Amino acid sequence: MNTPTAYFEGLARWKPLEIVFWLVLVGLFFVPGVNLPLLSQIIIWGLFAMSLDLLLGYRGILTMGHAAFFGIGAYTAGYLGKFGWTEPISALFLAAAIAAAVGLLAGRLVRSLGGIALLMVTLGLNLILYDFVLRSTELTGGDDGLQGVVIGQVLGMFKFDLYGKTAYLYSLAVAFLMFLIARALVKSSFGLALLGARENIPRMIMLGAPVGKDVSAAFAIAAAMAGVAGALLTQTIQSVSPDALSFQRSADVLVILILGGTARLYGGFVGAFVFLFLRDWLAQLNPVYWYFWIGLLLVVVVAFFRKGIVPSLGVLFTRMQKKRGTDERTPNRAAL
Amino acid sequence: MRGFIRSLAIAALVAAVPASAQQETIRIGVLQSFSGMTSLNGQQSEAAIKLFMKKYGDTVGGKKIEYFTRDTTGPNPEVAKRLVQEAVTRERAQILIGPDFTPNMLAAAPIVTEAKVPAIINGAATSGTIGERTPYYARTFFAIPQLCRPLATYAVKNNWKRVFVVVADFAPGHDCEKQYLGALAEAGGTLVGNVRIPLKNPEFSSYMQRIRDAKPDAVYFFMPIGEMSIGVVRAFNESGLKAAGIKLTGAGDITDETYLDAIGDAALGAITAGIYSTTHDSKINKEFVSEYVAMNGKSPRIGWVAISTWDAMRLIYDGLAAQAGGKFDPDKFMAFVKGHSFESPRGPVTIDKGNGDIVQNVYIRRVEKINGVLQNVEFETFKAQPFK
Repeated sequence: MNTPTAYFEGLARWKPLEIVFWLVLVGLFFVPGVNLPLLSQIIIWGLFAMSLDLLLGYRGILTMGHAAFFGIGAYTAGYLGKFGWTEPISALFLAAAIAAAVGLLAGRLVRSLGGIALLMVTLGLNLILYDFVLRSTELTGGDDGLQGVVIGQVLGMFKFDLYGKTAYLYSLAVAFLMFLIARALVKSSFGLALLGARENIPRMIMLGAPVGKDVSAAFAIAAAMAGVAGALLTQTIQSVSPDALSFQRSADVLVILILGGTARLYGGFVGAFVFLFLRDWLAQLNPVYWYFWIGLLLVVVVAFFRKGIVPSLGVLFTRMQKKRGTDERTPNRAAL
Repeated sequence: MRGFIRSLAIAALVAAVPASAQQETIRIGVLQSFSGMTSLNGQQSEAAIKLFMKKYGDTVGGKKIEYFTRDTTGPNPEVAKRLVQEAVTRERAQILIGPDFTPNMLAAAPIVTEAKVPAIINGAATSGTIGERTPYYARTFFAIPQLCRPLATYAVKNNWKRVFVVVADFAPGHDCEKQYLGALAEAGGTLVGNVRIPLKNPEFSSYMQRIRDAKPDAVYFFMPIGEMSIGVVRAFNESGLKAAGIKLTGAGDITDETYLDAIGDAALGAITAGIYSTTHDSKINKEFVSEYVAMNGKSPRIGWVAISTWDAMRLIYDGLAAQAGGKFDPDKFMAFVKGHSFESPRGPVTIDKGNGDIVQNVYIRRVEKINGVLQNVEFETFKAQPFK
């Protein structure tokens, strides 16, 4: 643990729980009667929340406009499908690129801001984009959504089927790749610089870190991943409507991330699972008054898992290990 | 004794098996918004279905009818598409009512095609979205042209040649504006001005001033059902435009019965085009209204989604009766539904043979007070209006 190389290697080492996490997601596919359409959406929301985690969790940037990038990706995939570019994987790259470009600009715009000002500006950008899409009915179909979106087969072989099998495996594969990229990033020196700036910006500046540029880069990367999530949604449901970049979505993703726990990468996925699963279950029990219960559950969960589900379980896990006298806690366990 | 019970149980089982094998159960998935701003849609749908099944029984053509409800939460294709997927795969629905809202039904079209599940659309009005999308859609609601063209013809016929057009700034509003202006030009009327009002937090008084300055004979409004409609009709009255003799006309949504009491007397005299009024003069409608009110109470009043759902159930029951005895065949069902005509509480209705969209009468109505209650009273009929 003395040399930097050994330090980063230690950070990057896969923990057993991580491997179990992804194996469970793959295994769910084979469970008979499992609700694959819902699981696909959980994965997509999880990826979206993870992209926000890069900003909020690792850099402490509270943005209320993250759905804008999601929507840009969603509409990019939609337009490509509408105008004959039906190949889904290349469409993902394009969606990521366009969202990243906008993210870079947005990052440049807000990097000198902080706190409430940043919150207001990101919220404003989101609302402007939403209103633009809603009002340009000739261009976007307004609130009827984009019509005539056609999505081809994945790798030219797998059609998006009725049962959502292709959609699930496709979303899972893409989310896993994005996760690998995010994981590599946050465990690199770039990730440490973000964490450092989250804790103490003046000190990072004194150390000579390009704090402002890092914010732009983080925005671009987070935007690209949100764009991929948006494109995935468009491709798996084969349509897109302004709902993709509504303020409600920005708020929901924040709730999901905070519910799951920030600065953990897994928090977004776990939060999405809890939030969407509960929402679906409660809406089935009572289609009319289910919002009441979801509100109550959110309050309860946040009251008992104050830092979010993943960090709280992490603490619990460590405590149990301590009791058994096998404290294997490393200084970096926070970076699971 | 134990042997006796066992043989009794076996006998009961033997008796029960053929009965259940004979009777096929048809599951209807009802996909509406039950929460949020448009929750009234879901409530009206379920009320209409319950009433229909109480009146006509839960068995038709030898098949038992069951339904389940799911909340689409509004115009949200992400949720709606997933719910449709679940309805046809996990819940094994053979027929759907909904989903409501245009983006939802557009997203769901590929699924119903692949699963061969007929879906009766009872709450989305954009034109060119039924047969154009899937052979398994039929619509019992209305198509935008039906609501927006007749009043232009009517206005010019009554010598209200100078018209000011106001629509809400969203996709159906733009669609309606186009239809109305087309019909107005054909009839030889003049457009003296048109504005689009944003959906959120509008301040109506400045728009009313613009109308006053243009000095039209009549104003045409197209607004979504709800607060916008309430606001615009009230503002029209308060700004003195009504007193100045300008005629208030619009699509029936602006004086929809479910919100008419909230508008109050400001709505008196408003002339609208609509597909259904609770005061429609027919025996079948009087029966429908009295039974609906007896079951669900006077409030909320009966809206268009209720009547569309009622007619969706009519289609389903007629379609199933037509293939009594055999196993349910979705293609035969659609072949029957398309081209089917029947008498609805709103008047005669035909499902287009080629498209599956609806052909129906459109009524010109005036808001009047009958026994102290505001009502849309029909006084002129545009017969069998096309859907495009």
